[in-house]
Amino acid sequence: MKCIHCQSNTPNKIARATSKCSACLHRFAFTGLPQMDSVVEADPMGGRSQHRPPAYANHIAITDMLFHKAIQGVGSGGKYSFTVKQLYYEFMRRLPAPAAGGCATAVGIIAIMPLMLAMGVGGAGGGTAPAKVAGPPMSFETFTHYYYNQWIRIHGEPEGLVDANPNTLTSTPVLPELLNYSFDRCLIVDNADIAAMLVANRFHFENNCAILSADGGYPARERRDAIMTMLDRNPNLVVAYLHDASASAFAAAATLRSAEWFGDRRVWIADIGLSPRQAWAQKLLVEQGENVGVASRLPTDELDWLNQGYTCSLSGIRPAKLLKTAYMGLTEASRATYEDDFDTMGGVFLMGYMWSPAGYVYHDTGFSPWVAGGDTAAFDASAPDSFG
Amino acid sequence: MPAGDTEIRHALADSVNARLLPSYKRIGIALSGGLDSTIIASLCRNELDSNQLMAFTLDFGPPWSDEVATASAIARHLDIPLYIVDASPANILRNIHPATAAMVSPYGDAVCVPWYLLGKAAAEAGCDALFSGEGGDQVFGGWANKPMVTELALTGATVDAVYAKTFHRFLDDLSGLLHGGFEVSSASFDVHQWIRDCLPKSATNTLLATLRHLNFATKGGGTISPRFTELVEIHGIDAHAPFFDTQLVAEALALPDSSILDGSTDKAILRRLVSDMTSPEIAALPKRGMGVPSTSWAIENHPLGHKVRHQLSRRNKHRDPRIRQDSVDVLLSGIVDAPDAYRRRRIGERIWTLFQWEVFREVHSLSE
Repeated sequence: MKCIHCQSNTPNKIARATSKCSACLHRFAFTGLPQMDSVVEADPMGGRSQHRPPAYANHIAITDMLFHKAIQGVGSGGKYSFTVKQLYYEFMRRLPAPAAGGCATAVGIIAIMPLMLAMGVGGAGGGTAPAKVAGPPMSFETFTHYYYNQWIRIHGEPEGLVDANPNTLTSTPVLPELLNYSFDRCLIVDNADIAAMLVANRFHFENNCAILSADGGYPARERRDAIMTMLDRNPNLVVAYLHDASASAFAAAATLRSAEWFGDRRVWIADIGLSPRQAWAQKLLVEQGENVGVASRLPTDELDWLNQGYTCSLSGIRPAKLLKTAYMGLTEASRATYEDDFDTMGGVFLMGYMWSPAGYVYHDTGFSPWVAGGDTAAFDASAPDSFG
Repeated sequence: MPAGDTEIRHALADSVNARLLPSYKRIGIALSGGLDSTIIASLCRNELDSNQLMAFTLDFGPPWSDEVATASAIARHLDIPLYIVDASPANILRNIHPATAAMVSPYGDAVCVPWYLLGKAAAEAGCDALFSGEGGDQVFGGWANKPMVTELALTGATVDAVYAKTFHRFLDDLSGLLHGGFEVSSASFDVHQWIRDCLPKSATNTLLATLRHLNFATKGGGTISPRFTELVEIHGIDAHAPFFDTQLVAEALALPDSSILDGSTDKAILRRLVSDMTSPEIAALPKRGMGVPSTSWAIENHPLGHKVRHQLSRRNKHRDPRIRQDSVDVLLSGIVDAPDAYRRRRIGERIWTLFQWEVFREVHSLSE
């Protein structure tokens, strides 16, 4: 068993007996055995898992090095901040998927095996709905309860982990004089933890961009109201909504036109969320939630998929890629407002997720590829005060 | 006219006039087509005949030539002859060594050689001085303050902590490219303390006035003004940046914030002045100021790119041994493995600062 501190190998037998590296004596968090084989405690998710061994007991050797590499992977070697949920998905990618149908939790999670068939519809490309599904190694709750917490007990909190609790981050009031100013743009995301992750990675700072979560969790209420007031001061505001591939997220896009958000203000709102087709193409884990039903201009196969209750989380995408996607989406959304006078100003322009396969634009008659507008050079040239 | 506009216009005119020395027979103006240089050009034109003035604008070559069209329109409107200065990669390469020789500090970014070229062109055209709009960003707000407003609103951090973030590329990201980091980021230098020392003494300053004061005290006066001066005056002509005039700065810092950042519109007062001094058509032209395609220079396939890559590679025997080859290789492949990686310009900014550091060592024969 390899030690993450000194890279020495300790024979498994000794590691399991002592839980320590034989060279540097650092403790191991895991000893290569399924942790819960000998533990009677139920899966914290409850449900069926109370009556059978957790799914991760199917011969997955969890080691410190495996977990360490997941931390390194999700944060690109310590360069990016990340959420626990993102770490979970990274960890899942490094575990072998169990047999099809092996879903251990009440709110099941299934892994998709996209066939990556070209759609040939409107040139948009992309994947198709998965033909085969398999259960993931473990639920998020199992991961945090048994593995993540154990890692913290032995090795401490990973560097770069985002504190997603807005009460500790953003509950102080905004300076009154800040209300005189505004933001160039606004990015709305589904969840507080993704919003906190974007802020931790300086996305707002690089893009003069307010970041809010649609669930109301980020930032805290005191700051949120002030930020909405500041947004009101920009007469040319561009709003982009980046969200999970889920029926509820697509339904939530429409609520951005409610009085709680932007009402009938002349604000350009672009939906740059993850579409089912994009999720299929990127081999993301799929979670099955409630079937809420959604009416959308999405293609039929994607709509059917959503209406079966399948969802796919943005957290399954590494921070490096998610930041780039958000930037591309915001840039394209901003460009569209200058070059086009869409009749959809009063609605939400469904632009599609800005990642390969290309984002695509939905029309009443179908969908077509989103063509990135012109030369991006203007956005890339260094300004004189390049340390500023 | 909103409060303060008239006073600022007069202060700007006074600043320009005080620098138009009687001994000058011909004046050059660095005209990027941005707000700041347009104002300087207009004020110079108010005082001098067309045949006493020459405007110079940089042409970075396709597809980076969009400044030329804006500068041409402004020069035509002001009836000032415009000269296009070749800032193609080939000419940047030809001038990187003499430009670096003119610098007293190894810390330079991608605007250094273009400044040198502007000074050279003005001197060769017989100008006695080159006027520039440098300083407008620092004194009148500009885009650089927006990220800080965003950070303050979202996170509630303190002003000095937020301001320190504007140095992160130099202190954190760039230092990650050198084992041990840049000297300035050593343990003996506390950037937070430095910023606190530079904070205005008066507690009555507004937030934006405080930020602009810091911009002026740290970046404007500390880096931009001396660097512009040394790179132009090496050609034997005077360099003038009227926006750095102390009286003008004092009046500008007393302006109400709405004159600086009106909603999301920055430099609001300068936009009004440009409209007033020129025409609504000129004011409506897209104005970005000088933009330098440093990423293209660094990673694309032309002799300048080859020079950059050689200078930073192991094959360069004189290269600073502290350079972290793994990090530099990633950069040169066109990737910045950092949270701002999605902005391509960040690649050029990092590479160019490191490259400038290396060329400085080469030019000044520094082994340490």
